[in-house]
Formats: sequence, structure tokens, C-alpha cells
Amino acid sequence: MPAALGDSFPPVFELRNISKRFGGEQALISVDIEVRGGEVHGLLGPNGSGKSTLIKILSGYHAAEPGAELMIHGQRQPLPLTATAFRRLGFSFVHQDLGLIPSLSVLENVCIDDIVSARWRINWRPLARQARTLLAEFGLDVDPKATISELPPWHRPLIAVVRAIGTMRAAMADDPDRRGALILDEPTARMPEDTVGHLLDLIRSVADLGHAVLLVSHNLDEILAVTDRVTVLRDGKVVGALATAETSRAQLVDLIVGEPRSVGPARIGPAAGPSATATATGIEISGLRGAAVREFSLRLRPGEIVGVTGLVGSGFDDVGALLFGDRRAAAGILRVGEHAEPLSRMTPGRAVAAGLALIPPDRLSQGCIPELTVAENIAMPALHSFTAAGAIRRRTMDRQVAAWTGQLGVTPANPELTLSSLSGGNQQKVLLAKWLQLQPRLLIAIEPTQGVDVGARAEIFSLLKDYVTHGCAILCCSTDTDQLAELCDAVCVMHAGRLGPVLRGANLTRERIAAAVLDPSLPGDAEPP
Amino acid sequence: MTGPEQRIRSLIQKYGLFAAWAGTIVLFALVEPHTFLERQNITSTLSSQAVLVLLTYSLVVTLTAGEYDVSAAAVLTLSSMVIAILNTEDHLNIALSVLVALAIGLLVGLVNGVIIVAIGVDSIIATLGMSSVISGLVLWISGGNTLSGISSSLVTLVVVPHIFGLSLSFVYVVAATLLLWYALSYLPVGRRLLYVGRSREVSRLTGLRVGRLRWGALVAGSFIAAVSGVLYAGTTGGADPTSGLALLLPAFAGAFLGATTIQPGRFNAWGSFAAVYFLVTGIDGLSLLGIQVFVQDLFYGAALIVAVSVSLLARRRASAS
Repeated sequence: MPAALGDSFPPVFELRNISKRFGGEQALISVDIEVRGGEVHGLLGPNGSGKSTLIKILSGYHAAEPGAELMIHGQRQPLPLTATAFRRLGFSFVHQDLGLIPSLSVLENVCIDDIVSARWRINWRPLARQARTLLAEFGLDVDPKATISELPPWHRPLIAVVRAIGTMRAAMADDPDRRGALILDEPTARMPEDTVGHLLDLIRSVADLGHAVLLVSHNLDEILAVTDRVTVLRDGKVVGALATAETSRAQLVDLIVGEPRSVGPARIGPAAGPSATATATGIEISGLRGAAVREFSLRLRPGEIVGVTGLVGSGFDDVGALLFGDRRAAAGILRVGEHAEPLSRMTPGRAVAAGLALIPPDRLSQGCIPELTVAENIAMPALHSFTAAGAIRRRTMDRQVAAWTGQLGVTPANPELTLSSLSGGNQQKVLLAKWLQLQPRLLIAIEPTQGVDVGARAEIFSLLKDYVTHGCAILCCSTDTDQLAELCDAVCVMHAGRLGPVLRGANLTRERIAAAVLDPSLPGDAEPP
Repeated sequence: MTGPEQRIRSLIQKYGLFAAWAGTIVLFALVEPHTFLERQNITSTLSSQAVLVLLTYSLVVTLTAGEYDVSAAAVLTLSSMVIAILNTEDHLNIALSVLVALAIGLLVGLVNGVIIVAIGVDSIIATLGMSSVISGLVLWISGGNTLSGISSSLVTLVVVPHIFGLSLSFVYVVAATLLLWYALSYLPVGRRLLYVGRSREVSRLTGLRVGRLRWGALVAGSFIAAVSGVLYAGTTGGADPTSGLALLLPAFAGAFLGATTIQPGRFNAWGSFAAVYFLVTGIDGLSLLGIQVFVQDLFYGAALIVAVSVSLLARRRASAS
């Protein structure tokens, strides 16, 4: 059936009056959404707008509050439904992590449902035939015997989507005319730009078969290219439901961000003119390339907190790891004061010696060791400073640790407690103490207040702001626009691995940052810092 | 939270094993007052376990760094066999023979490091293979025979009673315990091994040289195992190609049981010391009661399982509260 008839298809599923409350917080407020057969429906919204909660309700992970309604093919279904019940009704999901097992073959991945549910013995031959037909139907030229990890990475989302189609069909095997629903949660986030087209074609062809596709994405280019209609969520509410053909990028950005864009950028920020003294004492990153970063150059002056943000896959979240030598860069030079360090040879050890410190995004698996004590965690990078004649002086160490926990206000104030018994905010303060005692010239903080309560968050902000007054600098990589607006002196927005607009001064608001992340064409302040 | 009840509980946890050890001594003293408390029994129990204690310390070092070295007992056997062959068949000076044996211990550690750190094979698999390779080598060089007649100067240095009827080997044990305790708690390298053992990722992102530390732990562990082989040769005055291998499980039991006490949750020197002697006292008492040899296997195996289970349950309860 031709795609143009898509509008005439009846809805495959409709959600009405979906609300969800977590504790005191209202994640979704009476959301309605309707996805028709034959259409690709985009679901948009800023972080924390309720998109993931909605998807989790659809996958049976969360139950909606009473009063919610689910209609499938016009028939009312009782809620809440379990994950299995959703699957039986023809719902199929591709989550952001794709859920493929890289060390197994394409066949074993695509047919995983049949393999795990096989009761007696696995009939490999029909399975292989089935997988081959399915892959061929959607134009995927891959050998079913190939191991997933051997394929080019951009093949993976395609395989995950094809598998989801297979699952959907298997659930409706008794009625081949029925239409299913495919729900895709940011499947393109980690794909190189030039390969996204393959996935969009695949998504389109699924809709052309009459199925309903719900696509969650932050990338407006993709949304405009592939969807028929979009629903925009903000603060748990639907703020817009419109046909893609009748909308524009600017209109979508306004809906997502929630503030009409002012005409022309206001350039009120301080002039970012480089001075000779800035290079002598500041930090300069030039020509950084590696992972998703194609070209990144930045100058940080002492006392400055600079934020880096962007969409997932834009490279903003690789900058910190590349600078610290956590991942190897292809090129680039880091200049700290008068000392220059090639980034292609950077290791965490060299980075620490050069005066860098890293607050990694995952506190408990990368930043601290939860089963060790607060004191042991803080002492970790500074053991050499507590030694006399080669042996650790316990008293010196205890005094230093107590001084830092006191200064940062870690509670309870007992350095002998195991770290895991502290609250998230206090754990984060311990992580800060661990690095601040070394007085790093550049502190790289990746999502520094993730999983931290409001009070501790404010404390950490003021600690960081206080720290840079001693002539150091902080690079804060984050997607939290509130945090960036509140903490940073300037925010760099990355698009497709390159530096885009830079926001300063009056332009540095949560809305402007969010808009600049979504829309690369938005102008920022003239000069990069 | 830090009420008296909590404090008592942590006291019990810290010194419980010493109390259990004292308890077994009292128990057997009451049941078997004549033989158990005989001075000779006490001194021989204390002195005869030097080999096992040292082997346990070898494991404490590698386990602290997060590696399982199951080739340690094979290194012990190899070391004693090398000494026996060089000294009795090749008539090499005993001091030189010992040096060669220790050098071989270092070499095995280096090779383990290549396989585990440089290539990336899981340590338990790599050392399992290495253990078999070494056992094969030992059978080859010894022709499967037990050797005896090692120079009496080594035997004198290990087993001859010197202080209050205690042989020098017990003095070595105490010295080794002090050394290991100091290294693990007061030397930066000991702390770094602990960090690496708990989280390679955090250690790497803190700038520690994780690969070098793991490698160093494997070399040090293998070296200590070779030292325990020297004590074995000195204790028995010879070497046999297989009996050292039976010490592997008791050593693991000692290390894990030791990690439940003194510094609960950490592999530590004094805890392992107490654990080995607790287990040995129990076995000694039971065998005086006339219970047969199989009790050893039973006792050590059960101790290993109980020790690991208890510490796991304790950790689960701690994280739940």
C-alpha cells in the first residue's frame, strides 16, 4: 500500500490520560498520544520532560496512574499491562543500548526469542532461512553467521530494528493483516552522521508496510526527515502535536525549549579577546580529535568555568575522556601554563602529573570505590604526600583527610565510614575532595551533580565556583541545562564533533542552551573562548 | 547507630577468630589434657606450619591485587625440588641453590604477568595452566622421585629448635607477618594494590599504573611462594614432586578466613596468621582424638566455603542497612 495513504489508516494504538507520579514529582500529566498505522511518529522533548517515563509505561516497566486508557486497534485494553502482554499485542522495542550481544552471531541475535523459547531442540535451518529472508526484505546485506562485533558499528542499530520487526511479526503470526507498533528510543544517537540515512530508510519502510512507528530522538534533522507527525512533551505535558509537513525547525525548537526565540542573539557577554597573559597561565586545547570529536579547540582562562554540551553522539561527552587520557585521542595538544602535552600520548597518569583531574560521570564505578572508607578514597591519588622515609604517616593522612571532609562539609563527618553508607551528594563531595587536595589546574567535571539532591547540588556549585577563584579552571561536560546555566561562565555547544555556538553572559540561560543544542544554525556569541 | 551493641559486634568481628582459636585450644586441652598440652605438641604445631603460612601470604598479596594465583603451590614444589636437585645431585652450594630457586620463583611471576596483564588472560585460567606446566616440569626434572639429603645447614636454619623449643621457622613466620602487615598498611605500594584489587577502573582513572601494579603483585606472590618452597626443603630435608600441591587449598582457606577478621573485608597478615593456626590447631586436636586423615580435607574445604559465605553475607547485610 502506498505511503501516501498513511493518513487514512486507523490508529494502531492510542494512549489517553496517562499520568505518572514519582514521590512528590509529577512525571507525566494527562498525556494523550495517538500513533496511526503507516506513520512514523516523532516523540520530542528536553531531558526530564517525561519521554522515557512514557516509553517505560508502554513497555510495561511502569504502571500509569488510574484513569489511564490504552486503545489498541480501537479496542480498549485493561491497564496496567505487563511487558509480556504488550509484546503479545504487537509492541516491539529498540532501546538506546540496542540489546544486542556483540560476541554472538547475527543469526543468534536476530532469532534470540526463538532460541530462548525453544522447548526441546533448536531447529537451526528454518531459523537461518527466516533470518536471511528478514534481513533481505529490509535490504540488509549481512552474513547471518557474522559476529556482531565484527560488523561495522552502524550496522548494529539496523540489525536491532530488523530483529524488533521480526519479534513484532511473530507476536501477530496468527493474523498477518494486523499492524504492529515499533518503538525506537534514540536508535541513531551513536551512529556516524553519514550512516544515519540507512536507518531512516529502514524506519520509513517499516511504516510503509502499515505498521506504527514511534521514534524518540533529539535530532531535529532526523525528525524532520522521517516523521509524519510529532508530539512534543515538556514538564510532563503535551505541548504540541502537529504534522511534520506543517512545522519548521524553529517552531519545534520553541516548543521543546518553551521560550520564543528572540530575534538575533544578544551579545552582552564579556569580550573573549585572548591576551598574552591568558596563554601563559591558562589552559589551551588545540586541534583535539578522537572518538566522536572531529575538531575541538578551546582556551580556558584561570578562574573560568566553561561548559561543554550537545546531543548524545555530538562528541561533547568524549571531550573529557580524551583530555584526561581515559580514551586515546587521534590528535591534539593540551597546553597547561607553559607545559605542552600531545593528547595522542595522554594517559590518566600523565594527565594527573600535568595538573588535570577528572570527575567521571559514574561516581560509584569510575570515581570512587564504594566498599572502601571515605579516608581511603580521598587518600587515593595523594599517597606520596603522606609519606616520610617511604612509609605512610597515618597521622598526617588522617589530619589532611579530616581537613578536606570538614572543608567540603561531608556528613557524617567520620572518615572511617565506608563510602557506600553516604548519600549521593556526600559521595560526590568525597570525590571532589579526592581531587581538589591535589589543586589541579584544570578540573574536568562530567555531570558533576548527577544523582545528587538539591541541597548538595547547590553546595557543590558554590564549592566549584569558590575553587576557581584560586586561579584554576573547570571544564564541565553536561546535558543538564540548569546546571550549565547556573555554574558556567561560558557554554560551548557541539554539533557533529565540532564546536558550534558559544553562549555567554545574558545568552547563558537554560532555554538558550537547549535551543542551541537542538539547532546548529542558531548563532552564539562571536568568538569562542 | 554507633551504640554499644554496634561496638561489641565490630569487636567480635575483629577478634572473633582469635577467640575461636583460644576456644579450640581450651576445648582440646579439656578433652585431651595429656597429649594436646604437651610442650612438644605445641611447639611442633607452631613450627611445622611455616610453609603453609608463607604460601598463604603469597596468596594474600595476589588476592589483594584482585588476582587468583593458583600456581603458587606448584611454585613451592618447584622451588624445593630445584634446591634438592642442585644441592644433592649437582652438588651446588646450598646458598646458591636457594638463590636459583628464588630466581625461578621471580621468573614464574614474570611469565604469569605476561599472560595475565600483557595478553589479558583471566588470572585463574592462566595460573591453572601454569600450575600444570610447572607440575609437569617438576616430575620431569625429578623423574618422579622424592629426593632427600639436602645440606644440613639449611635444615638447621629452619627446623632446629632454638628459642623455648620453637624452631627458627616460627621466628620467620612472625617476621614475615610483621613485614606483610607493614607493607599492606604503611607502604604506598600496599595501599595501591588494595585500590587496584577493588577497582581497576577507578585506579586507572586516578592515574595509578594498574598494569604494573598487577604484574608486581604476581611477581611478589610467586617469589613468596618460592620462599615457602625454601622452608619446605629445609623442613623436610628434601623434596617430593607432589605433596606441596596439597597445600593450595589450605592456603586459600587461610587467606579467606583471615579476611573475616582483624580487618574484616580485607586480606590481611594477622588475620591470615590467626586463620592458619586456628585451622591447624583444630586438625591437630581432632587427629589426637584419633580421627583419620580425611578430616584435613574436610576441615579445610569447609573452612574455605564458610569463610567466603560468611563474609559475603556480612557484606550484603552491611549494604542493606
